[in-house]
Amino acid sequence: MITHKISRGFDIPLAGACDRVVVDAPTPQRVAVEAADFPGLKAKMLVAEGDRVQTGQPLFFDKKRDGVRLVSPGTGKVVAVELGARRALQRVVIELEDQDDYCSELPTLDLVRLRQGGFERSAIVEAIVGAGLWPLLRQRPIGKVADPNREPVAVYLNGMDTEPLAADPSFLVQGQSEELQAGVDLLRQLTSGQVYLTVRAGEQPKEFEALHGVEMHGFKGAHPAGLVGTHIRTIRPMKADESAYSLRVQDAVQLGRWLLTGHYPTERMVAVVGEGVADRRYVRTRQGADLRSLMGRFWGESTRTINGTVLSGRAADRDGSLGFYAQTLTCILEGEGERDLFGWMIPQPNKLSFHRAMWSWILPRKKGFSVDARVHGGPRAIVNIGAWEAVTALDIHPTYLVRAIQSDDLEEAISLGLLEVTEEDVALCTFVDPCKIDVGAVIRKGLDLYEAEG
Amino acid sequence: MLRPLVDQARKLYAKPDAPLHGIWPLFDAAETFLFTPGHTTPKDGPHIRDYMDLKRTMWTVILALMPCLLWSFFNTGYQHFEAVQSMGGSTYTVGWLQSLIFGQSYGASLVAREFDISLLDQLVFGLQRMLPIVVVSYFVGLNIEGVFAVKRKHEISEGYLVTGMLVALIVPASIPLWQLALSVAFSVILCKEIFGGTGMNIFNVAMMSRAFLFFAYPAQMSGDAIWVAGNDTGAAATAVIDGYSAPTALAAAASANLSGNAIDTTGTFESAAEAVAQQVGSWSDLFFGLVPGSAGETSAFCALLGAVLLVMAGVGSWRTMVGGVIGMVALAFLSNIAFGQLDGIGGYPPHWHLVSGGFAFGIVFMATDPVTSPETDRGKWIYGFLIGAVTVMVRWVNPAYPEGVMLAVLLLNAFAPTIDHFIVQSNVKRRKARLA
Repeated sequence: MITHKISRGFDIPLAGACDRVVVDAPTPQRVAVEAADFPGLKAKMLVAEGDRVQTGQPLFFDKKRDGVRLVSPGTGKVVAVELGARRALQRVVIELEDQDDYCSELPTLDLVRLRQGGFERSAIVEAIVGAGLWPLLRQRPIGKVADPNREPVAVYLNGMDTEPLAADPSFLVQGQSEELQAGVDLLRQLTSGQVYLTVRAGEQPKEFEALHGVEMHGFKGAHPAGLVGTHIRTIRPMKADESAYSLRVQDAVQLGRWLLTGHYPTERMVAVVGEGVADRRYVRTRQGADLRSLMGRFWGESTRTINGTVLSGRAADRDGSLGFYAQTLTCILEGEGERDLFGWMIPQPNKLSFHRAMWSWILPRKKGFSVDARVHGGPRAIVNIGAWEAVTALDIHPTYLVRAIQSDDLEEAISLGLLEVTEEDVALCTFVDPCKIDVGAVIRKGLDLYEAEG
Repeated sequence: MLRPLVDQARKLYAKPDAPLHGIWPLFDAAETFLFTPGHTTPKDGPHIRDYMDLKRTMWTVILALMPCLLWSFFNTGYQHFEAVQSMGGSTYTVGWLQSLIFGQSYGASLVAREFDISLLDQLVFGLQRMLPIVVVSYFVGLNIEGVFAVKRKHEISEGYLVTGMLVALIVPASIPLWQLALSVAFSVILCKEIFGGTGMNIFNVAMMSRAFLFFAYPAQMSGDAIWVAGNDTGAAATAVIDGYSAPTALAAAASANLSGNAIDTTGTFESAAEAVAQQVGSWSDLFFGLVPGSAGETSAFCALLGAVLLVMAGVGSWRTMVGGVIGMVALAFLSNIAFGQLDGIGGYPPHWHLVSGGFAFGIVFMATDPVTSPETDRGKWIYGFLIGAVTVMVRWVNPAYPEGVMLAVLLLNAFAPTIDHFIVQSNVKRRKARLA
């Protein structure tokens, strides 16, 4: 294993970590697939309200990504196809029956033949796309669902997560060595390059150690040491016109389970974390499960429930569901309208901050800080006190990149490294910024501009 | 208790059709001064934010300026009474605060006890000079900011909170208030607002107002003999202090007539440092700031205290500060070696340079201004180094104006984007090489 040290970054000390205990959630009554999980998706519906769908049956496909499709995570009746502005798909809701009825048309691949290299790449891609699992693969640059037609120079399999309170990937894949190995064998056929497994340095669970066909890299340091952007930059920076796939080890397990069973894998394990919820555990449930069934009665009204972590997740509605990618469900207090008298002036040893001007660093606390979703300040022009740079592990100058995008200078932005970042790589910049600029939104605007201009 | 009142008042301003919505930025500034804003993050992107905001950033700098401000209260009074004592005299004109606190007979009593003064006397005089300066600086600057914010419908940015204090501390305590007001108006409007406000300006606003004063009113501002503040209130007053001026350390060093000088062997001092020590004060006087000069920048010690706070809080860049000290020491050494015996200030030793004039204050509080300095780490080193070096060069080369830090900071402000450009370009080149 090769070890890399990431010296810049910040681990947000958040209160509300969960126990390493797994419980089974009550069976959800409804499951849903939400379009917001797939930015840029242009859905073409394959089912209508009232249809009965089987587990694994295609619900819709993406007109922009060569037929990449999403399939039903359960068996039952489609009770809602919700459309938003300009008739863009919001979500598909399915009311579950008691038993799973697996779709027989789900493509599958013979594992023995796959391991011998007996399939063309195109056949493998077609099978993954047909099984509805292609969206598990994401692509760098851009950071959206991968383009099936573009062969990556490498696949990054992420076995670590440094985001605040994130579920531990090595815990999620515990005892699933066989599935993981099958997933890796599949990934190896997708690229002529390497499959890199990135793990927290010094931590090698047996599931990872026994894995064949991957090049293991250990990372130590604070967040963003666990982000794929950091890994690509450190292991093998990409050349112009190259692209790479990225996925997490738990995604590889899903691929492996599909190969081994021939069914669409619907089970998900999720870490329920954050101070907004009393029962903090790992929960076994189904993809797209409605949150009410998941959260139970300890779900406060003033809670913000986030599909994912506080840095890169997406806030869910009260009647929302578990996201396609969500492996962590973070609950924090909303805190809207709460205001602190002279909050900016008096020392605030109880408030979470990266900055030493807050004086909370003097009394570090083991259990982390309580937080809410307030911004704590009005928007200002960039006044750079070096905070963005201090939490950026990539070889970029974030303020200059942001300014280039803000002035719509795409060429300059690309030369400054726009294609090496996505919003998750700069999430810490947004967090620490005293001027309250949403750096991720600016980066996404730049990437959209790049995509639009081709 | 305060909240219901504020919420009530808010109704008059908040909505677009509310009667006072036109001046919403002013209300917003006052409201967020009292209470942190209560709005929450959007549904996408980071859901939590750091408690630190720009207000606290600026507040931290103001806290760091406190030692200098307190020192200015004391030293202004101290220098005043030093001058009064040295000139003797049988009358003493009483100022507004002195008469308020001690009564009208204060002047007579001072003369009666032969100017045997206490710390209280010094502080009262210092406050009497400094309070109007601080008030005028903030009043003029904040009003201009308010007008621009209302016009632009922006929230008021906090930049002037620091600038206002800086301006008050880098002008001589003897400055006429109308000159101060004019210089603040000039620099805030022409050096900041026309560029788009805080965060957009190229030159340090406080330094620009100092430069404006220097070039517009050189009689009051030339660095070679700063006026010690008195109670001079026009032609009618026969102030003792009128006409008294004390040389600053740098002026003394620059005009030092050295005995070892090859051209003029009739000199009276062994070295420039000795000339300063005899005419102005010892090294420790300079270090602690017990010398005449602009109100808040005489004390290197107070600036050092501020520097410690700024660096500890992560608000000021230590790279700029250390770079500045290195630059100054390096160039001072060079000038010592090259011109040590020929020129007064050429032989001025590095450790005297560091504590003389406004350098310490300038490198800690002016050079580290995040808006006008380079943003890259390496750029900050270069920038700081050059400020130190240019300061020594100005002191050394320009006999008419031995104080150089103001010009050095402004010059390097102009070059900050260039310095950054080269460092960012090296990043771009590295990327290009990688992509090829």
